[in-house]
Amino acid sequence: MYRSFVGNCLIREMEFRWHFILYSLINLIWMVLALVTFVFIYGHVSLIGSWTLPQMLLLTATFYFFDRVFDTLFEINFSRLNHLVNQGDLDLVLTKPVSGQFLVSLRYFSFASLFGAISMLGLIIWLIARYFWPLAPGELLIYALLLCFGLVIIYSWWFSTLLLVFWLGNIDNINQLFRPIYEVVRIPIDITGPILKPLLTFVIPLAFVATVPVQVFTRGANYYMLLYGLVAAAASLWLSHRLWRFALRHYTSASS
Amino acid sequence: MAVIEVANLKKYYQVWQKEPGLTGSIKSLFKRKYEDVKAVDDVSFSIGEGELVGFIGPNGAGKTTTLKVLSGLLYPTAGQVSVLGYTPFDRKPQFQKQFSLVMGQKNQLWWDLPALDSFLLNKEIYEVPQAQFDQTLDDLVSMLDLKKVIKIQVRKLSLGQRMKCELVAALLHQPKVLFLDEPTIGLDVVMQQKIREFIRGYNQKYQATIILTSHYMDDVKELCDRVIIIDKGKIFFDGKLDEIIKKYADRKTLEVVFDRPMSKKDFSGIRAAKIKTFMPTRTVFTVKRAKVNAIAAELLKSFPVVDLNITESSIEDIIREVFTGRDLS
Repeated sequence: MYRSFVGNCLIREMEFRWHFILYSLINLIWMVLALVTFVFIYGHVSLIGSWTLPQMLLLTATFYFFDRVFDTLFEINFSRLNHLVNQGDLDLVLTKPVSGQFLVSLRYFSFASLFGAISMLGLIIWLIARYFWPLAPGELLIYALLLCFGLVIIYSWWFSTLLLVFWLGNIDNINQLFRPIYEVVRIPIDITGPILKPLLTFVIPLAFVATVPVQVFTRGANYYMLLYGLVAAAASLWLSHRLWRFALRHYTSASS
Repeated sequence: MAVIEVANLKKYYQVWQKEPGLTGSIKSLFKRKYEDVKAVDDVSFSIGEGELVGFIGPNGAGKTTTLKVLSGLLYPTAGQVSVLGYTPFDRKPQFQKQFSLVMGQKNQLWWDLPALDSFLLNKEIYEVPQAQFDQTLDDLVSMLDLKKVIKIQVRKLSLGQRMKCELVAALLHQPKVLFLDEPTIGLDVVMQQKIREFIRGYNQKYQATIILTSHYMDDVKELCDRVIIIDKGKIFFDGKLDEIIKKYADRKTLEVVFDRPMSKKDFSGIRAAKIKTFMPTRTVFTVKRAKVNAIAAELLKSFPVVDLNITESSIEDIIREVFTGRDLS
C-alpha cells in the first residue's frame, strides 16, 4: 500500500516539475548557508564545547539529512492534518480498513525534500571518509539505528502536538508548534547546560536526532544509549497512538 | 436479519455562540457561552439485508450525523449501534472492509491523478484480489459508462463524471452496506437519473443494504420503498413512502383553470379551500379530503371553470408542510 502512496506522489510530482526543481534548489541553498556559517565561526574559535569543525559539520549535515527525511515522510502530511480535521475530510480517511494514524502520517511522500536528503547523505559520507575513517566495526550500523530511533521519537512527539486541533479547532500553523523545540537539536545537546542536557536526552529525547548518533563517531558507541533509544522510541510511538485514539473520540467532523 | 440496528442513539455537540462584529470576537476571547446541540436525539431503527432506505429531513435534521455514527466516524453520546454485527466506532478492519460511505460533497479521489490510480490504491487498501478487482472494475465502469474517463486526471472531469468515479472508488471492494449522503447533489437531471439507475442496479445485483440521504425527493421516490424522516434529531416517520400520504395528508389538491381572469377576493366565499398558488386564470387550492367533492361542485357551479383536476398532494408538499410545522388537518 505504501508503495502505491509513493507511486501516486511520484506521478503527481512529475506533473509539477518546477515545484520539484525550485523547492530542491531553495533547500540546497538553505543547507549550504547553515554549513558555511560554522566555517566562518570556526575561523575565530577552534572548539565549541568539545566540538571541532569537522564534528560540527557532521552534526549539522546529520541534522539536515534527518530534517529532509522527516519532511519527505512526515511533515508534508502534518501540514495537512489541520485541514483534514477542520474541513471534515478526515471522514473518508477514517472509513478505510487501515490505521488512521498511518494514513494521516504517511499518505503523502515529498519527492522535493528527498533531493535535500540525498545531497546531505553525500556530504555525511564525504565527512566520515575524510575526517573519521577508519571506524570501529558496527559504528555505522549503530549510527543508522540511532537515527531511526530519533525519527520515531520526533515523529511521535511532533504528531502528538498536532492532535490539539481536535480540541482547539482551526489552527493554521499547528504543524509548526513543535518546530522551535525541535530546532534546538541542530546544536550539540551536550553544550546546553546541566538542565537542558538531561532534559533533551532523557525526558524529551530529542538528542537522538543528531547529537547522540554523531557521538558514535566522536566518542565511540554507547550501547546503553542504543537500548535507551529503542525504549524511548517504542514508548513515544505507543503514547502517540493512545493519544490519537483518545483524540478521535473528540472528532466532530464538519458540516456535510 | 437486521444488518443495521440503532437503539436510543444520541449525539450531542457543544457549540459556543459569538455575537457579531469585532466586539463580539474580543468578548469571546475571554468568555464563551457554550450550549449543547442535540444533533441526534434518541433515534432507534432497524434495517434488514438488501433494503434500500431513504433518510430524509431538512438541513441540520441529523441525517448526516447519523450516517457518520453508523460509519464509525463519530463517537455516540449515548445509545447502541450495530452494523453487520460490529460496533462502528471500534473501527475494526473486518467491518470497514464491508461498508462504504459516499458523500456528495467530499471526495476521496486524488485530485491531480487519473481516477484509475485512486482505484488501484483502494485495491491495495482494501486488499482486493486482482481477479475480483478486474471483474468489479469492468462491471462498474460499464454500468456507469466510464471507460473513456478513468484515465483522465480527476481535476479535468465534470462534476457528474467525478461523482461516478467516486462511486466506483467506494464500491470496488463490493461493500455489503452502503451509506450514500446526497450522491446526486449539484448534478443535472440526466446525470441524477443515471446515478439513480446505477444505485438501484447495484442494490439488486449485490443485495447491498443501502441508506440514502437526499434533498431531491425524486431520488427517494424512485429508489426507496421505505423512508425514515428525521427532524431536529428525532425520527417522526419510519415506513413505506405511500403511508406518508395516508398519515399526514388529509388534503387534496384542486387545480382549476378559468376562462377569464379572477381575483383572490372572488374566492373569499369558499372558506374550506386554501389557495396554494394563485394566477388569475389558473389557481391551485388545497382542500380537506372529506370536502373535495362539495368544493369542486361549488367551483363548477359558481365560476367559469374550463378545467378542474383533483390530485393527491405531492410528497414534497406533505413533507415540506410537516417540516414547517403547519397543521395539516
